[in-house]
Amino acid sequence: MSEVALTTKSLFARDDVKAKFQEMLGKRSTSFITSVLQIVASNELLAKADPTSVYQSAAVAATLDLPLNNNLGFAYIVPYNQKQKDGSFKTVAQFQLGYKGFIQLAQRSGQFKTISATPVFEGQLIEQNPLTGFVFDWTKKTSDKVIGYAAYFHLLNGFEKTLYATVEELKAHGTKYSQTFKKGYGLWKDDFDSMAIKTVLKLLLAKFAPLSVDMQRAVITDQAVINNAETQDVTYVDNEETLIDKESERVRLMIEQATTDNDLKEIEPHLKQEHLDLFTQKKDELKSKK
Amino acid sequence: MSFDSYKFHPSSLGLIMTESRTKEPIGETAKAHLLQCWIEEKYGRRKDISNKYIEKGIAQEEESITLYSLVTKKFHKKNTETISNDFFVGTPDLYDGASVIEAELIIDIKTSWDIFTFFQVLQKPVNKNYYWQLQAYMDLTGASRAKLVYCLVDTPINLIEDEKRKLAWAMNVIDPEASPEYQTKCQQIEKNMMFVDIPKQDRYIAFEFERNQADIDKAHERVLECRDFLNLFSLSRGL
Repeated sequence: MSEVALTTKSLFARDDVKAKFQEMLGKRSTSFITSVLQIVASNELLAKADPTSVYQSAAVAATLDLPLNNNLGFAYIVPYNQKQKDGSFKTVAQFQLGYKGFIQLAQRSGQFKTISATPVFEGQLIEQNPLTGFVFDWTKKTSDKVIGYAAYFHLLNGFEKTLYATVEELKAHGTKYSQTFKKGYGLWKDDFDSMAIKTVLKLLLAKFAPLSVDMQRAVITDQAVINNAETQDVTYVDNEETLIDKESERVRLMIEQATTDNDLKEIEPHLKQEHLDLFTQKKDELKSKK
Repeated sequence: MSFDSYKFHPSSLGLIMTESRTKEPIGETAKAHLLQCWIEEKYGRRKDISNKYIEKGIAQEEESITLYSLVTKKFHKKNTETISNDFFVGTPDLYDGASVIEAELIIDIKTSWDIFTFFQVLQKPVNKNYYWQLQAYMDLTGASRAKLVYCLVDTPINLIEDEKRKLAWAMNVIDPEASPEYQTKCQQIEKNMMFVDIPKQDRYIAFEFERNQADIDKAHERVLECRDFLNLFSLSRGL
């Protein structure tokens, strides 16, 4: 019997998967699954992504009880081309939290009176003191030039905190944590404003806010490929420099696609240690066909 | 500042070989390029040109080499050795032979932007800049043949997303999910920029050139004329 390839659609149609979402979301599980499948169907790249990674990302969103609707901007599942250590190429789903998602989780904890974030324009930053904080005057804008971003919260118990970062500091943060920004593309480059707002909010919450279990989960899973939603085993795909040995990948593909002994002879001088098993296997396969 | 031993990159040979429309030996295209060479040498400022076509070419060069290796069933490795002679300095993409300076065949890989530009190369005369580039590489290596290979490989995701964003701007789309027309066009963009469904054999086009010593000699003469031009330009500036 031939094996049928697992697709996201077939995975989400499985009874055990349905039961898992039912357990997390109750009656809303059906519409949640529909929204996941709609997102996947509307994005050809996501449709090609490893179905398990889509499932794990969706499970995190369900655990956080955040809708996966791009218009709402709470949470997203986005495709990401990830190079594997053996040189092969895999499209995976990455879970991303929007800044609105962080605000939503903060509100839900019931401990926040106010939480917000905003760009700061030239003239609006009046005073900065590393100990006592920052003073802004929002009426003093002198130009349209954004000089930084500020996030602020005020707890019901009276504690309040502001975090401010300059555009330069945020660019340095993006360069440090995003390989794609370093290379001149990706979300940090294309939507710097949203990423900057999200970053100041995330840093403020992670450093100074009382973190609910959900908020901790959100901080851990944001911008990660979820290996296991339950154990919070994640891989930060945009933060890792996966070294790709393109020549090794080429050798591997040439072995896989070899149809004659001559094809294998051509590739033999270029073999590396990691190819030996595959090479021997292919050699035996071709021999047995004779 | 003397340009007596200035060496040109093979990729720019086509620019300095353009025929002048006047009686002057050096045409306007060549002059514009020589001005850039002069500024780079004198002030260390380099005019970098970047666009989506170049970006894809750089990002997917190794993918194209893999495609070419798979269809020819011959392993190719990107050459990283820069070589020079009295006239040129450059790094050929690929070669066949014992070493790059003993190459028998030079291979230059071009990654096409999309399937339309890819097949257009069959209907147009070969790009003259590429012809001259390969003659310069053959001059550098002693190779008697050269291949110009166009490859059609997938476009990186970031460039596909750029295209979708441009479309959203052009269509004034605020809410992408509420615009079925935008969604349909996005699907078409993705389809137009990914080619795994097309057989590998169909995704490469190769043109072969013989070494043309008469043209190489012409190129050497032109290099000497360009050096004179650069020296004169320096003198005219009192530098």
